[in-house]
Parts: sequence; C-alpha cells; structure tokens
Amino acid sequence: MEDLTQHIDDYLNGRLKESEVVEFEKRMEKDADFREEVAMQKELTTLLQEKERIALKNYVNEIARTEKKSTKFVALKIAAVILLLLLPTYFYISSLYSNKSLYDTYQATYEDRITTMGESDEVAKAMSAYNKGNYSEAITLFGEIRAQEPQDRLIIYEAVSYRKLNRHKEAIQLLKKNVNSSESPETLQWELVLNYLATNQGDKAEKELVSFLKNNKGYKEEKARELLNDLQSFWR
Amino acid sequence: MFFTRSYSDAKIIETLVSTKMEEKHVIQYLIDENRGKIASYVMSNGGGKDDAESVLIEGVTNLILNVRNGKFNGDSTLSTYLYAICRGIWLKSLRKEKRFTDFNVDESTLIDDDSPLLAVSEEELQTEVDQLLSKIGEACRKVLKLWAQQYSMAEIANSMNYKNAQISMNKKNRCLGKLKAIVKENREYGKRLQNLLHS
Repeated sequence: MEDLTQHIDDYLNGRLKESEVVEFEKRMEKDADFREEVAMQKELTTLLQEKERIALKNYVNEIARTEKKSTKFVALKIAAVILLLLLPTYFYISSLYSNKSLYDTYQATYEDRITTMGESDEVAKAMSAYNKGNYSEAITLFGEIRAQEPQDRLIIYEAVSYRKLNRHKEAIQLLKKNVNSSESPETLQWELVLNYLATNQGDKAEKELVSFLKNNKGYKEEKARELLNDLQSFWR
Repeated sequence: MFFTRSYSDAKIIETLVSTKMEEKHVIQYLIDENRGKIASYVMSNGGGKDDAESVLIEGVTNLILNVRNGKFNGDSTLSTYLYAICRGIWLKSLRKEKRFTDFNVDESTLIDDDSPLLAVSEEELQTEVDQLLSKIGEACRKVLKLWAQQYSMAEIANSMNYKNAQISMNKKNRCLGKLKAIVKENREYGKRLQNLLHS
C-alpha cells in the first residue's frame, strides 16, 4: 500500500522514467480500480496542498498588511521628528519677517532738514525739542504752530514724534489726513508704512508700500523694495 | 522601507526551506523589495493597485512553495523569479476574465501558476479538508501538513525527529493511504470532496 501510494506520487510529480510512465498509463487503461486509486490520490493531494497554499497565502497577506501599516507608521514617525526639528527653525526664521522685527529694522527718525533755514522762534523751539528727543514737548509745540498756521513741512516731524512715543493711532490719523495734500507725500507715506508695521498691520503696510513705489521714484525706493520683498516673503 | 534589514537570496532560501527558522522577516523583506516592481508591471498592464497587491501576495506564496519543493533551481535571482511568477499570475487572470490585451508576451519567460480552480470558497475548502484530517491521528496530520507545505522529506524528518528522509516518506505514504481508505469507505464523502474542485 505504501509502495503503491509512493509510486502514484512519483507519477503525479513526474518522477518516473519514460518507460515507467508508459507502463503506469497502460495499467490505468486496463485496471479501473487502479485508475480510481490514482484519481483519488491526485484529488486528495491537490486538496491537501491547496489547503496549505491558502493558509500560507493568508499568512503572507497578513505580513503584507502589517508591513504596509508599520511602514506608514515609521514614515509618520520620521515626518514628526523632522517637523519637530524644523519647527524652531521655522519659528526663528519667520520671526525675522514679523511686522515687529521689520519695524525694528526699518524704523528711524526723520532727520531735521529745517533748522538751518533760519526759522521763526516757535519752529526752532519745536525742532530743538524734536532733535533732543523731547517728543512730548515737540508734539505740544508742533500742535500750537499747526493751530495758528498749518505747515506742511512740519507734519512729518510731528508724526515721527507720535511714533516715537508709541502713539501710533494719532500718528496714522495725522498722516492720513495730510498725505494727499502734502507737497512731499512720499515722506508721509513711508512714515505711514512704519506706523502700520509698528501696530502689526502688515497687510496695510504692504498696500501702502505698493502705492508708495508706484508713485515715488527716488526717496527710500531701494529700502521700500527690500521691505516689500520681506513683507511678501515665504516665511511670513 | 525604513530601517528594514536586508537578506541575501541564500539566506532567504535557507530560511524558507527550514521548518525551524523564523520566516516572517524574510517574507516581509521579499514583499517590501518587490512591491514597487510588481505594482508597476500590473498597473501598466491594465490592473489597479489592489490587483497588484493580490498578485504580489499570490506570487510570494508560490515562490515560497517553489523554493521548498525545488522548482526554483537558482538560475535567476529570487526577485527575477518572483517577477516571472507574478507576470504569469496576472496574465492568467487577464485570460480568465477575457481581458487579455495584445501586448507582447514571451511565454517562455513566465512561470506557470498551477494552483487549481476552486469550485467553492477558500474557507469552505479549508473546512472540508480539516474535517477529513480530523479522522486521522495528530502525527499523521502533522506529516501531511508539512508535506503539503512542500517541505522536503529530510526537513520533515528534522521537524518530526525521525531518523531520516525515508522514514518521513513511509510515514507520509501511510497517512495518505489512511485518508484514501477513509474516502473509499464513504463514497458520499468522496463525492463531496470531488465537488470542491473544478474538473
């Protein structure tokens, strides 16, 4: 029985010699019981092998799924680590482009271009206070002059004085009121930009800069372009 | 993909033919190393992502069995062999669905997928065969299982603590003989088993 089973197994798996195959098949033709025995063994072998093939396939499938999941998990972990490493860098770089940082970079007082012109006592006093950094006093004096007779050329100094005291709202108000009628609107517009930056109004600063660059060639043009680039930077 | 250990073909084969070595990691490696290549082939020949994954899993399964039973003779790398198996599986599936397009196929480069056509679901087949196996003893079940998993007689002897491969073979034949006797005794049962496969 064992020999017969092995003999059939050898036939089914192509391990018989050619002459043995001929003899085997002759026997199958003549002997119905033998034929049935071969058919049954073939069927049982196929079923047993197929059952194990399916089990192995399910095992491979399981590995493929966990492998995919773990690959995704590892990728996520790596992404998280990279992000954690990059975040401080991002915050540092973007802080360089914040409104406050840009204000600190570009802000300056507007230098006195009046005193040497042989001015009246009131104007000289106001400018003296301004030049000494006594901005409160300067604002009072500029206000008094403006109440008597408004002088376009003094608006910028009054506005800078407000800005220096962090009274940006009043500076913006004064500048907006005078910018359209001024003989040198570009100085007032630039000052407006600085006040917008100081009050964290980047969008307004950018809008004002675009208009500034459109209407003005020369005064602070290069600085204005630099600042506009910074305001439109990827890092903001 | 990240930090996965790599294995040589020799190490993969050594692991797959052994009943005692942990094979999970080498299978994982085979899948990982070949997924992209197989996906690219299937997807550029009318298949989708899911088709590609099924073909890969089927292909790796057949590769493991062919390594164990010696059909893989080491003429090519395992990766090339797996690719040929997967192409065969995909073309067979296209033919079955009559979706076979006219792209050029050099049939000699394919490895036949000789798994039988089932007339029932895979679960049903497993249940029926389990039921048949429950009628024989534990040792017999083990030997037939290892034999059906295509392990060599020497490896079965190693796993079952037999002295040599001949004893494994005798044991396998005796156990298979027992199953045949059970089926012969119960003709109805034999017919039921017959109906699991397409003739």
